[in-house]
Amino acid sequence: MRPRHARRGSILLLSIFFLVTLFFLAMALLQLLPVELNAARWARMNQEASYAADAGITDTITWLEEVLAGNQGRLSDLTEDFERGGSFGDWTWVVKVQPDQQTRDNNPVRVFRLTSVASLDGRPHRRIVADVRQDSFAHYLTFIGTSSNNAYWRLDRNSKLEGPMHVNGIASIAYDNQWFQTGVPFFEGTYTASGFHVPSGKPEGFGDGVRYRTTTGFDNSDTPYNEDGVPIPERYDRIFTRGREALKTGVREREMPSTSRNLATEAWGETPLPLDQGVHLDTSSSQANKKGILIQGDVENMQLSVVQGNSVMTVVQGSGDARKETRVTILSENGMTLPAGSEVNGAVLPRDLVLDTGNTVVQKPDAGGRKVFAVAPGVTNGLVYCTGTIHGLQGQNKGRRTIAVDVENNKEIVISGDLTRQDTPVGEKPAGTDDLLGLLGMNIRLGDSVERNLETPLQLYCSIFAGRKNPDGEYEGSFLVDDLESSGVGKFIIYGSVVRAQDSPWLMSWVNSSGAYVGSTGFVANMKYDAAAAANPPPFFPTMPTLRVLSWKEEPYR
Amino acid sequence: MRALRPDGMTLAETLVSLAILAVLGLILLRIYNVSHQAYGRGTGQIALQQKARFLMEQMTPLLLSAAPPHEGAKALHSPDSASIVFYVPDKDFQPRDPHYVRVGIYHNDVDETVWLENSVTPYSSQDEMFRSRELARDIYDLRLGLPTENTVRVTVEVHQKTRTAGGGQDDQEYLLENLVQIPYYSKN
Repeated sequence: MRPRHARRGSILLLSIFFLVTLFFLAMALLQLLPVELNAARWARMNQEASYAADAGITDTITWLEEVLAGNQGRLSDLTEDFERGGSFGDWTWVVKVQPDQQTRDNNPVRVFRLTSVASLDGRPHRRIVADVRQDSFAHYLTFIGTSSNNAYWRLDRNSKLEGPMHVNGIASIAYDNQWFQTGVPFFEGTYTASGFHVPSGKPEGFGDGVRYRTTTGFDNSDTPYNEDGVPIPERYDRIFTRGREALKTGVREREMPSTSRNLATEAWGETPLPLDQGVHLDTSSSQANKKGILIQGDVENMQLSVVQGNSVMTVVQGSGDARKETRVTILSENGMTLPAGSEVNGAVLPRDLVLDTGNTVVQKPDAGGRKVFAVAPGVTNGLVYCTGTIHGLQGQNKGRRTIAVDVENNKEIVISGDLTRQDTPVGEKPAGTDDLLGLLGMNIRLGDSVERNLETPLQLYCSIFAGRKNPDGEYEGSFLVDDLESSGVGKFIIYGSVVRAQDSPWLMSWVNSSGAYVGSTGFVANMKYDAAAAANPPPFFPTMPTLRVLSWKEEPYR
Repeated sequence: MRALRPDGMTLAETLVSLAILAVLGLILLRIYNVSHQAYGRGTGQIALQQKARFLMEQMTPLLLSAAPPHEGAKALHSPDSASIVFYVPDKDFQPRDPHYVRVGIYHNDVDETVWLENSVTPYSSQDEMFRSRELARDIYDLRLGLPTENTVRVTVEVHQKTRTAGGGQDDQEYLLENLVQIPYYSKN
């Protein structure tokens, strides 16, 4: 018999052969598995980290909106950096909230940078950086606090609404019965409405929520959706530049504020308002740029102008012997010399006083043959608050400014002429935000002194906020035309935004007893959207307690 | 006298064992070839996945930054299935005076490259200038779609030749599809 040791070699060889083969197979598997496992693990972790960081941003935005709405926390807490934290499953997130400089200075349009970092077991994995900005009413080209059953936006082939529009209530649109064949999109921006109209005889939720009217009547088949309520895209494309998606009905109501008293505080501070009629300015150096200009009493005329590069506001109060003229100069470009013998902040000047730029000068009516000045350091916070009605306002504005009156006491502003701006040639669309004018009152009126001439339209470079929601929940006030029914047709062009509590007509069309058109009175309106002013509105122009995300950057973070 | 028993194997035994070994060897060779091929395909697949994921990882953060350049505009446009145009915040973004630049991603199917093109100056300025750079190469196909206003469907297709067991070549492909939801729309 063959010795055992003689047969061992082949088994060894076979074993080695199998071992080598299995080794290669195992190696291949070992190389494949970890790569796949790692890829899957990283994909899952990235996804989870992204969700966690996103949760931090969402939570912080919601919290900030609650604070802005006055439901939680204090607004004054939002002027410094702070952090918020939370968890999302096994993940934790920390959001750093950084207000920008203007927010730190208590600008009512608040801007924050939110940096959310998601961590697992204390190790950061992902970061999201988002810039958010508080919404302002200036965001809308036109805003209507409450919709009227009789007020329709009539689609016109010769004009357009270039920016967003919002209505609290039902959106109503009228057009001729050839519109879906020959019409051109009228709404270039979005159209949002808090109400939802259901055509008669149709079930709840039928249609798109808009009340349509054509020359053949209401609720007929001439709608942009078919009889089953299914949208007809080509019809929406003839109403909205962005088609059906530009229309949103049943959205949240946007409430207008009920008072403008907070603006009096911004202009004068917490101390009681001075009672004597006139223009008041806090002259203490500690209040530089923190307060505005307060006007006590009615104003007969307010003229805005630019003199030697400086913004000037001439205020006339009273009439006849009681007429008082006050001139406010913001020394932004050039200084000023006050003559010796003048009274400045209660003291008589022994010699000429040279003022540098960066001061505000109020020249009050002369007293005892002496010029009287109030001089305050800084260029004010841009707010002019008047406790009475401004019966005439016109001129050229320089700088960022809001002129407000007491809406709670039904005070108004009457526009008596062009309102232009220094940084933009008349007739051109504004490009910057250096010179912005906001007007706020119960009613903003186009006065009867404004010439009605279609060839020379009234030029209004301003954002208008007219009216309020009173404590009874009713909207009152509007942007009106005085003596609407008196003869003559004019035109106004507004570059900015028109926010009004109630819809009101600016143009009346007249028909005779047989129904024939005999003419119009009032003003043809041409509204131009100022996107820059919408993003960076005039100071203290009313805001909403909502935040808009403007930028979003998501990246790994280790 | 004791009969002689040869120490070696008979011819038959040798032939049988050789045959068994040959069959075993062939089986093992086949297994080796298959495993080698599987290894090759596996590593090839990894390379393809990495290539597709690399492109996806480059594109996704850019898409997540998309925002409309102004009120009423859309953040995303897809002129055709091989390109997408969107807007992202300018380098020196100021929330109180926001400016956005236009970004385009498109696939060149001639040289199988993906390009990123972005305007150097903010969108809508008169002197808009563009800068291009190659984002990825050897991308067989890139399909970009907008199923909804706020979602981008990105489909990356990459191909590669691998050696077959018979010494031939096999066309290996990998398809990666992802839906990117733009946060701007869900937050505003």
